[in-house]
Amino acid sequence: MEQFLADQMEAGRVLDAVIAQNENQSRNMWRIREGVAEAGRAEGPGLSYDISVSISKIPEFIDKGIKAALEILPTLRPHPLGHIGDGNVHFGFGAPKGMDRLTLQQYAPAVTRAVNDLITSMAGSISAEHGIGIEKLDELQHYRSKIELDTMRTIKRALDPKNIMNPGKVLRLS
Amino acid sequence: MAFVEKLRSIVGDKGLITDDQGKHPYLTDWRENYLGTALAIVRPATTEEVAAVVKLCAAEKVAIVPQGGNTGMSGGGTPHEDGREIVLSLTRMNRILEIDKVGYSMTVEAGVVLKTIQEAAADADRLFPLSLGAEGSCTIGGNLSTNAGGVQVLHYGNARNLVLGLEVVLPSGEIWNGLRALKKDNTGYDLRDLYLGAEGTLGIITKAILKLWPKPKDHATSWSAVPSPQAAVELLSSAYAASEDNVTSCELMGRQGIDLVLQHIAGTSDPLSDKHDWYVLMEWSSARPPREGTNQSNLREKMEAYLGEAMEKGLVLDAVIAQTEAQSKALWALRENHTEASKREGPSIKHDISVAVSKIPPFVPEGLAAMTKALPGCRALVFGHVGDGNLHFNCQAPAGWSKPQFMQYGDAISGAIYDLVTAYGGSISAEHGIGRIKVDELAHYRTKIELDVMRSLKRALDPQNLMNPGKVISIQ
Repeated sequence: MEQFLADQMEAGRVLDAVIAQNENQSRNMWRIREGVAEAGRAEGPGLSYDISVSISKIPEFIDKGIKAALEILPTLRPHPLGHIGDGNVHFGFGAPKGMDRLTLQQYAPAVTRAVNDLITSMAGSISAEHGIGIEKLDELQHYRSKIELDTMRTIKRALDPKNIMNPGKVLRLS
Repeated sequence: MAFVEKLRSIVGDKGLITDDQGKHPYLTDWRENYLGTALAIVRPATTEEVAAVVKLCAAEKVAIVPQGGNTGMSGGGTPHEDGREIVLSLTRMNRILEIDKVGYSMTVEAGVVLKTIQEAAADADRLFPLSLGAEGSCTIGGNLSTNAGGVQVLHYGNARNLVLGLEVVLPSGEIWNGLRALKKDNTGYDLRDLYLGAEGTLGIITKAILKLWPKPKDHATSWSAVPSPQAAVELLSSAYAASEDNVTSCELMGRQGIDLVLQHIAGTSDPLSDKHDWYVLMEWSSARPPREGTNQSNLREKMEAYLGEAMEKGLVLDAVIAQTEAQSKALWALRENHTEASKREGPSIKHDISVAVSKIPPFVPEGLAAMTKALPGCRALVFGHVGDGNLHFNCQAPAGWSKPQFMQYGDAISGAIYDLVTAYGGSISAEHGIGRIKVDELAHYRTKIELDVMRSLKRALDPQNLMNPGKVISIQ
């Protein structure tokens, strides 16, 4: 890894780096990554999107996605992070300084729509990990193609004709 | 307008074969078990043409048999004898559309030959790890429709694991565009997995986004004599750590198969001086290049040390490691020529079964006993991808027997093996699928619940039963 990072620094892809020399140092590095959610909550309200794109499109998405969100609310504070190796970016924003949760919620639908429109135009996913449940029923309806929704409904009706298996989740039948 | 002329108006003269001689190669399977008839061989150039053909067939109630390289082992790509079907060949749709080096993916049309995909990946310093005997002729659409396996399933998974997205023409003639190169996507039911392994019975795959891996830069091939299948399984088990998780293939062979290869295939020789009962061919591969002149050992050195230890423990009786590319190829030739050698020796009954890897050691002697009981004098050929639990457990006819004489015992032998496999919780068709050849076995060995669910899906997605009817599952 040392050799690899040295090569990458020469190529200008890495500006500066450290490698953990022991277990403790490794844990500290991970703690910074793992602490982001908690730190975000402590800072104030925020918006977060569990999206994915193909890996090579990540830079383009982050760039365009931040632009699209700031167009709606210029003082939003972007802090994207996540599993870039999977294409899964936790596309998060902190509320503008001093803005309370209720005010932020007024902007949320427009930001959500902008982010999801962009993701869909880039052949990405509006829910990389967290699934649809009930929260994203409307989005699924809106963003998956008619053919996809028809096929899913066909399967659901064939396998669960009485619709007793977790009805009203994932798919709208009517 | 006659039906064939309607087809012609969609695909043009280039996309249609109607004369008997031209049709013939598309009407038989590779194993020469079946010869069907078809109204026409249709060879679309684009997904839109495929969709238009399917729409037409749906309107006229003509069934469709999708076909790729026609190398399948189960008759799944061959039409029936009654002639109310067309063969829809994907072989003209053979473009590689995109190679994404940074994102490690490749987008292809269904008719690209597998070897072409492997070479394109290698040229881009990447690996597409699907590798099987027919790779010079088989097409990726067929590989995905049959969930092909091959020799590297151990490390990379089978075809299902190698796909990010699909484009499929549905039985209605609509085009489902699922070409998203996403590793994470939890937006509703996974439609992609419906079509992978469905053998063309739910829809026709027209494009795919394939996953790529880093190109291997170092590999090591070893040939070991082992005392038993148990030793083979233990040898593999501890090889994972010893190779730093770089075991890419592990094949088991019994002595009988080796003898047939040495007898029938020119240019082959036994790598070891003494004869043994069981052999393991193991391959390790790594994307790390071998380093010359340093203390870091490459895979060959690691394998040498590992086999030395295994010999001390009695897991290995004797072994060689290939020192050159040519030697590696020679070792693989001993494995790869089993099917051809068996064919030259005479008739045989083949089984492509799998059980959990740890159950192989008890399964093998019981399987041998079952075959011998059904036909004393049957010559057992046991060989295969032991690391996946997949063995070709074949019965070579006694020397001098004719095919008709031998085939009288077919049901008894196969029934005995499949009964045993089922008792072991195994699969009666590990790689080769069901096609036409195992429709009855599937109906017999899968549970009623499983068959009911499969039929529900088939009826729901293909209500007219036009997609490769009579293959995999019968709709009764």
